Amino acid sequence: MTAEQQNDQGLEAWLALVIARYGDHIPAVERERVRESVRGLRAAADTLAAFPLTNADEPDVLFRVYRGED
Amino acid sequence: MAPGAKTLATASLRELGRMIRAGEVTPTQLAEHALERLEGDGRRLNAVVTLTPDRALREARRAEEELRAGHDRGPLHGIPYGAKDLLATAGIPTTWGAAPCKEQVFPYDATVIRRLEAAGAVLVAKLAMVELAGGMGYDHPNASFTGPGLSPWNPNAWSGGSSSGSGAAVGARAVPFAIGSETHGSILTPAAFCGVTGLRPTYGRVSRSGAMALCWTMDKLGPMCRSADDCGLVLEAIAGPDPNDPTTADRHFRYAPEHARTGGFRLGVLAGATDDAQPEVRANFLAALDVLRDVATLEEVRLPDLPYHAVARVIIAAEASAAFDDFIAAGRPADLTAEADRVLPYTYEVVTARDYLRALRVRRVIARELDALCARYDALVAPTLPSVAPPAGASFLGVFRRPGVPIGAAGNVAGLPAVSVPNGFGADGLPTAMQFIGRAWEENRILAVARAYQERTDWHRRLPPGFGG
Repeated sequence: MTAEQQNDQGLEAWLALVIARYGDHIPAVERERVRESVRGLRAAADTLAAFPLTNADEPDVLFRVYRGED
Repeated sequence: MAPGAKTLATASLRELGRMIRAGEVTPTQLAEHALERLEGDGRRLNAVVTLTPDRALREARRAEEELRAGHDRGPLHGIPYGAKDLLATAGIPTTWGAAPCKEQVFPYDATVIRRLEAAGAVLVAKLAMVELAGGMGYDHPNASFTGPGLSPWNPNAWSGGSSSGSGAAVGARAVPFAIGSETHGSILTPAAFCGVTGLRPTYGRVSRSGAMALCWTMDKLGPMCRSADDCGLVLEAIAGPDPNDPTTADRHFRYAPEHARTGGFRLGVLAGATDDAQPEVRANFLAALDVLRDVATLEEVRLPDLPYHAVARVIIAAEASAAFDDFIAAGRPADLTAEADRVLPYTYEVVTARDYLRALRVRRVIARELDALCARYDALVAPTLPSVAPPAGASFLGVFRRPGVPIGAAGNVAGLPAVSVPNGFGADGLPTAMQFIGRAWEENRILAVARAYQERTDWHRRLPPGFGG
């Protein structure tokens, strides 16, 4: 199987997930628009997956430990 | 005799403040004038959701009484303004630009609204916006239940979004200033397309408490005004820490033009910034650089090659789908106006938790690299957008898919401040613009550069045909 075929299969799997969950809200005429959005989002995720990071590269998330009034 | 409409259309905040204190105009007259302009021109441009005459006249009368009594709240005292309709206002509908939320009313004011009230400003309108601030994936100007925002410079052209009404109302000179919000271009784009000056503050500079959340780690609120100086005055009123928004930094902002440099700036001109731009955008940018050479040394710089767009796309999709989780799960996108917005939110499902966390990790690398770059300059400079406003009746994807330099995505992902200023005109009489991007927390510095440019040009003072009174 070529890389392109693998990518297509992967895309179809992601699309199937969206349709399985929300197909009732997605008219057939909008399927191509949805497919393009899924393709773009997965392409963005793949771009980030290929970006070199180390174990020490932490995410920027805001969490502050909470302690209520005594 | 009250000043003429043209005087009111062109006056800066400082000039309006002087007129009020000299008794040449009253806050009530200013509010009534703004309400009249918004009811006419504002509605024609699809810039208005709700006028707020009761609150406006009450606040205006209070301003008059206070000023008469010698209680002066500063440069915004008695000045009318409009707020993007994602800012909560007690007892007044806050629609988020979305038909399913048309009846939504909050019992409190957003922090920004409270701070402007404390500064004596007068709220005259809730201004139109792209539905849910564009977070559902819209690709067409019609994505608002109030209709496509129209540019005051050409009603066949889009005002830009998602702060469409804020841009159009200030551009049409119906209000001296407005508040917009930006997650990924929503202040700078309508500022550019409407020929106004728009400031995107540093992330964490202005509280978002009471504002619609689209993307918690990228949402910013900022002023859209007639000049950079006006932006500084408004920013001082709305900035600062807020216990109700834990992302606000413990930093107070004092706008201090009197202490700012007026020359000797060092600017980094982004290489390739005009490669995909329309000819007029390119020509106007080069002419603007010539003006800036009077006050700055210019050096070409390259934006680090990093996946800005991918980071922005993944973070916005992940956070927007979480912020609107219940809305999406209940199928309420079906009631949105734009076709794309009715289906694209469902695709956000394909962004995994790992994708999101990886985007946050890459963002940290981006933030470090951009800080190192910005630390060498007073500002980076680039065209705000490669094109003038596209037609209001067609998809705008062509404008935003020009390859160009991804400075918009970079600046928003890293949370850096930027100010967009008009710098000429292009096709169909539409304005062009350029932006100054600064290091985090350096709004005073980029505003100083923008002021120096505006002191040498009059693009920001030009009036759209038919909107000058």
